[in-house]
Amino acid sequence: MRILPLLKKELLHLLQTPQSLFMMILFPIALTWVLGMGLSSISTRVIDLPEMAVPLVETDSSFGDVYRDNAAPVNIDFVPMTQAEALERFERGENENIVFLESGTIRHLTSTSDKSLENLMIRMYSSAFSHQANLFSYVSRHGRPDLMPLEVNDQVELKGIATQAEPSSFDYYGVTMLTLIMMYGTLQAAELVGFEARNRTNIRLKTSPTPMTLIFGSKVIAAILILTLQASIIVAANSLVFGVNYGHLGQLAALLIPYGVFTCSLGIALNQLASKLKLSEGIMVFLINLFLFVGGAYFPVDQLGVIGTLQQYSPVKWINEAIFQSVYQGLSEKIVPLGIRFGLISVVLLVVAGYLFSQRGADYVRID
Amino acid sequence: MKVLEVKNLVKRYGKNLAVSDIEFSVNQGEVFGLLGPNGAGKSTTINIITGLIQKDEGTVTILGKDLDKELTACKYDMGVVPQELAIYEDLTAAQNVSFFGSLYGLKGKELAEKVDQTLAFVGLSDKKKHKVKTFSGGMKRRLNIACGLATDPKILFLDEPTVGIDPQSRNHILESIKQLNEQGLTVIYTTHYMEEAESLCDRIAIMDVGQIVAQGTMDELRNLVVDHWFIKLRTNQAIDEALIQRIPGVKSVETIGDQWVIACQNKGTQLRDLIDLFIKHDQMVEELRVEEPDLEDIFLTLTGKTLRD
Repeated sequence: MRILPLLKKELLHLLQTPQSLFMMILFPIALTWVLGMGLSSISTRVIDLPEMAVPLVETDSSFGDVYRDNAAPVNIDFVPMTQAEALERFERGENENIVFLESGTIRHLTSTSDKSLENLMIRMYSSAFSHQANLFSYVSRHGRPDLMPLEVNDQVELKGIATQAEPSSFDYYGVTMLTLIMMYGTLQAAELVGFEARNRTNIRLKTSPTPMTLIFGSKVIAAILILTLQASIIVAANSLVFGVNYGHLGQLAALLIPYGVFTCSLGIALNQLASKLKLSEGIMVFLINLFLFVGGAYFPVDQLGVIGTLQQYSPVKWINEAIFQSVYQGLSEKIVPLGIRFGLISVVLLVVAGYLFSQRGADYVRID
Repeated sequence: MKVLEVKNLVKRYGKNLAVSDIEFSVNQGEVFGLLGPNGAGKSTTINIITGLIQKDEGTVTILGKDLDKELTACKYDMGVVPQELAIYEDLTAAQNVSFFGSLYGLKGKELAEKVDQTLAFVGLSDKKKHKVKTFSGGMKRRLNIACGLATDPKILFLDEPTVGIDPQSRNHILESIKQLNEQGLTVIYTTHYMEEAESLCDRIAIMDVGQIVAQGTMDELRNLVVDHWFIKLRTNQAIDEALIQRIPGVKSVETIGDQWVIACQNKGTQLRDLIDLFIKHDQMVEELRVEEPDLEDIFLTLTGKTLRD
C-alpha cells in the first residue's frame, strides 16, 4: 500500500508544524469563550426575582398567615400593617402595591402598569392562591377528596409546558465556531494540495511511478483525517471546559464527518479551479466567508431580508440547523439526507478536482 | 547499448516551438550533456523524457521501452534531480530521502539502507536527522541530488544542479557525478556552464531555440569550428606582421604587448609554418601556446551569439 507513506508524510508535516494545528484548535475555543462570555448575559432566560416587600392590610381575614407564608418561595414578603399606614406609604411613593385581605376577597391596589414585575408577581400569586383556596373550600363542602391535587413525590414528575432545553450562548457558539472552523478546513485542504506545486516537490511526485490518482487520493484522505482530528479536539475541549452541549456524540459525528468531507472537497476543488482559472486565494476566502455569513455563522441572519432567504443555500446553515435539531429536539432524521447531500456534492467536487490535478502537467514545471 | 533514444521530438506552447524536431541518443555509462542558454529548450526536453509534460510529436525510448506505452515502467528506471530545489524544508534529510524512495516502491530495511547510502554519498550523513530548513544552499542542493538517487535509477537526469551555489558545493556535486558515472550510472546533464559540460560530459548536444545545433564529443565539436584556434607566442625580436599574414589559413594577427595572437583555421599546418618562419628569420621563440576553441567559441560559431546572451 503505497498510500501509507504518502499519508505518513502529510502527518509528519503536521507534526513538524504544530503551531498551525494549535492555532486551528485554539482559535475556535478562544472565540467560543469570548463570544460565550460576552453574550451569556443577553441570552440567558433565567431571571433572578428581586425580593419584594409589599404592604398587607388584613381587615377581616382568616387566611392571612397562609397567604403570607406561601409567598416566601416567590420572594414576596407581605408586611402586615394598618390601612392608614399602608396608604400613607403608598401616597409617599414608598410602595407601588398594597394587598388588602378582606372576608373572602383579595384586593390589589397598584400605582404601576400591568407590565411591572412586582405588579405581575402579586397578581399571579394572588390568582393562584385564590384558585387553590376555592378548590379546598369546594372539596371540604362537597366531600370530594378525589379532586385534591396529587402529592408531589418521587413517583410523580412535574414538567413545565416548555420541555425542550434551550442552548446557552456557549452551546450556540460551541456549535457555530466548530462548523466555522471546519469551513475554514477548506483553506487547509487547498493548502495541502497546492503546497506541492508551490514547493516544486510536485515535479518529483509526477516523475515518480506512483500514480497521480493515488497521490491525489492520499491528499484528500489526509485533509479529512486532519480536519476530523481538529474537530474532535475542539468538541472535547468545548465540552470539558465550557460544558457545551453537543448532544449524542454518534449523531454529531454522523453529521460532522460528511460536512468535513464536503469542506475538504470544496477546498481541493477550489484550489484546482483557482490554478486553472488563475484566481487568487482571496476569491476562495471570499466564497468561504460568504457561506459562513449567509449561513449565520457569526450571528443569526434570519431577519435580514434577502440574506435571510439566501441562507437556505449555505452548507453552514444546513449543518448548524441539523446539529441544533439533533441536540435540542432529539431529531435525527436530517442525518441521512444531509449526509447524502454532502456526499454527492463532494463526489462531484472531487471528480472535477481529480481531473484537473491529473491534467496539470505543464503547470508543474518552469517553461524555459 | 543505447539507454535513451529521442527521435523527432517536438513540443509547442501555443505558437511557440519550445522543442523543434530534435534527435539524440545516450549510450550506457555515458555522461551526456545538454548545453544551451536559458530558453534553449533543455529543461523542456528533460521534462518530456521524464514524463512531466506531454510531447506533441516524436518518440522517446528508455532502455528499449517506449515512453508512451510503458510510462510507469520507464519511470522506475529514471532518477530526477530538478533544476529547482524539490525537497520538504520542514522534514529532516532522512525523511525526505525516505519519502521519495518510498514512491518508487522501496520499503523497510531496503529503504533504510538506501537512505543511509545516498546521504553518505552526498556527504550529509551527520545531518540525517536535521531539518532541511537549517541547511545551507549547497547542502540543500546535495540533498536534492540524494532524493533523485534514492530511487536507485539506471539513468539520472540532472537539470542544472549547480545553479546558484558556492564553488565548494559545486565541486562536490561535480565530483559526485563523476563518481556515480564511474560506478556505471548513465547521466544526462543539462547546463549552461560550458566548463561543467566540458569537464564532465562524454558527449554534448548544443541546443539553441529548441533545436540541437551540434552534438558529439568535444573533439568532434571542435572540428566544427574553423577559425577559433589561437596560437599565442612571444619572440625576442620583432618580425614583419605581413609575413605571418601570408601563411595559408591564418585569419588574423594581433600584437598584444610583446605577444603575437594569431587566429587560424586549425592548429596543424599553421603552427608548423609559423615555426619555420621564425627559424628562417633567426627569431627565438620564448613562449608558445596553442588555445583550442572552447564551447563558448563553438556556440558562438554555430549560433552567432554567446551562451550567456
